[in-house]
Amino acid sequence: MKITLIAINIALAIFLYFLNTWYEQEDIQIQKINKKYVTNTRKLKEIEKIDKWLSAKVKQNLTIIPKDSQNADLKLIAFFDTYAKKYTFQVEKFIYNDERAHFLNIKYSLPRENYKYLVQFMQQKYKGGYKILQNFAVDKATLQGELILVQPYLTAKKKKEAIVDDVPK
Amino acid sequence: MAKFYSISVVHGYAFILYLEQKNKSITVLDSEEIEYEELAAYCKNKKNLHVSVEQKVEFSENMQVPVAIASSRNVKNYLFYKIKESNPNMDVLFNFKKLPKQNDEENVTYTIEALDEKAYLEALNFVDDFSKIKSATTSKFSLLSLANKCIDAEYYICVYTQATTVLVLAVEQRELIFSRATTIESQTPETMQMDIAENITQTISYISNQFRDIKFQTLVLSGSIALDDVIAQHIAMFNTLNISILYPNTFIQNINAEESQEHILSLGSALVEKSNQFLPKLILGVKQFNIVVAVGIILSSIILVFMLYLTFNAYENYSDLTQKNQLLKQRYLYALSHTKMRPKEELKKYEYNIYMTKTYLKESPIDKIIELKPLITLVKPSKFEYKNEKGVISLKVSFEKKFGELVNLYKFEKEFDSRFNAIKEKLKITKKTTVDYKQLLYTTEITTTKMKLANQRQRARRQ
Repeated sequence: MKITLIAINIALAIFLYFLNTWYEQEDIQIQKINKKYVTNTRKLKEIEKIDKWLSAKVKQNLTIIPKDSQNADLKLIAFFDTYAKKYTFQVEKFIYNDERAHFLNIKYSLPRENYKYLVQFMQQKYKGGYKILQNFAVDKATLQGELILVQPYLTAKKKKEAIVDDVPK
Repeated sequence: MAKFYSISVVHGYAFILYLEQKNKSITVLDSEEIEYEELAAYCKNKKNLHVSVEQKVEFSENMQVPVAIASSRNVKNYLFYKIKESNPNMDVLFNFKKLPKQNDEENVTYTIEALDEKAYLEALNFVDDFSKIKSATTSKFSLLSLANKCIDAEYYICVYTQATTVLVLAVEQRELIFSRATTIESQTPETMQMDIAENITQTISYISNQFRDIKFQTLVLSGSIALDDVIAQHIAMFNTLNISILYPNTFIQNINAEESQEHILSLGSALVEKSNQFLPKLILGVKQFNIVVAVGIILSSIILVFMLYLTFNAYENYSDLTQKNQLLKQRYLYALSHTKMRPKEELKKYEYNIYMTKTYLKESPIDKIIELKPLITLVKPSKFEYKNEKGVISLKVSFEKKFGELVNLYKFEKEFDSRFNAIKEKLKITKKTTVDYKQLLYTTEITTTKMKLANQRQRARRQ
């Protein structure tokens, strides 16, 4: 009877030892999973934050990229022709390009005294691209300088590259 | 407190006491006298047994052991070897004691008390489980133990009778030096008393002759003889020793004088010292086994409790982690369901747009005008130049103002400087001021040169 009791005690103790070991191994596994959950949840929250930022700040500025290179050039020329007289445009450097865009450098000149006219020029947007005031000089009579029209257009090589990692946080 | 049974077997009868020990006093809870045949059934469910039995083959002897043999174990082995020499066909069980008086320088004298182990175990056979036996001895040592407890004299003779059994002990300084157990067989019951008295008287005479150097002081009577005046008077007639009765009632409660005499050996069994006990290897083995088993139970229980504690802790951790896991999983699934996943193509468009914006819209003259607003609101610039040449931004702004009074020029100058100082760190601008106090004309030119460092760094990273 007593021997049986000892045997039962030892058997139970051995069983508990293995149960204990199993619990410890399970703990390690669960901790790993929990860590992953925490990391992934944090990443998801960051993604959500970025998504909100993209929706609020970037989405509205997304441009439609022209189908081909000629279309890109024509868009630049169209802008020049539209406002050439109004802002006294002169071509400073004709269309050139890099991997991501086509450019057109334009000299401008307008009288200073009409404030509304000045504001209109400053607020003038180039739809489908960017207008960069490269130089800007105001003297007593005129406002003159140089602007660059940037028409986004990816080269074939650049189109293939996926640069998603560069999305700012 | 401890309760136990004290049993003595004498001439086919068992005298049983159920006792309780509290501190140093013993209380009799129950007493019984049964036939030996009934004893096995009686003991079946009883524990803590102190037993004494009669032994026919029982002898004592003085033996010499060389001084060189010192350790107790070696002495015991030597004595065992010597006893076996003289009793080759007997399994001997013995106790040994060193005699207080030693005459030989080369040898040490020991007195041994031996008995036939087989016969002794047979006599103890009424106990179904030897582990119940707390102490076991023979009748003479039971009597010796009780007598030593009750008698103060150093030298005395103790007589015990029960029915036809006569047991006589001679004691020197609390050690047994002689014993004789006899069963009287009388022709008729009428002569029994006289036969017993005669046997006792003869034994006393024998002891006196054998131990002439010892002056016995007292003759102690116990058992049925203590209640029989006729035998006691007869013995007194032939002896000069003081006669006294073994009377254990002083430290044993709840037993009267007559009853105590009937259970003299049972009472002695409860008091027998360890050195006077005979515990065969079989009983010792059972006891040791029981101790090992008890230790095993305790140790295995401790291990079990410890493992239970560890497992409970591990389970608690596991349970906590599982709960946490469920919580984190819910949070993750919630975040997953509330996060809009955009296709890769769309993300590429966003990325392209961000790149273009960061590259081409980083610097604008409007930003500079806004930053210079504190100065522009004070005085309109007479000249404004902004240049972006290969990533290097340069800005030159001129201010000019004429005053009618010197105080206004002074105040303007202070105000302009104050506003300039507030923005100069941020815009990294410097100014060159000229004041014509004759014409009261204030002229200043602010210049800045700033590298597009951030943009350049980004480009370097991509390369």
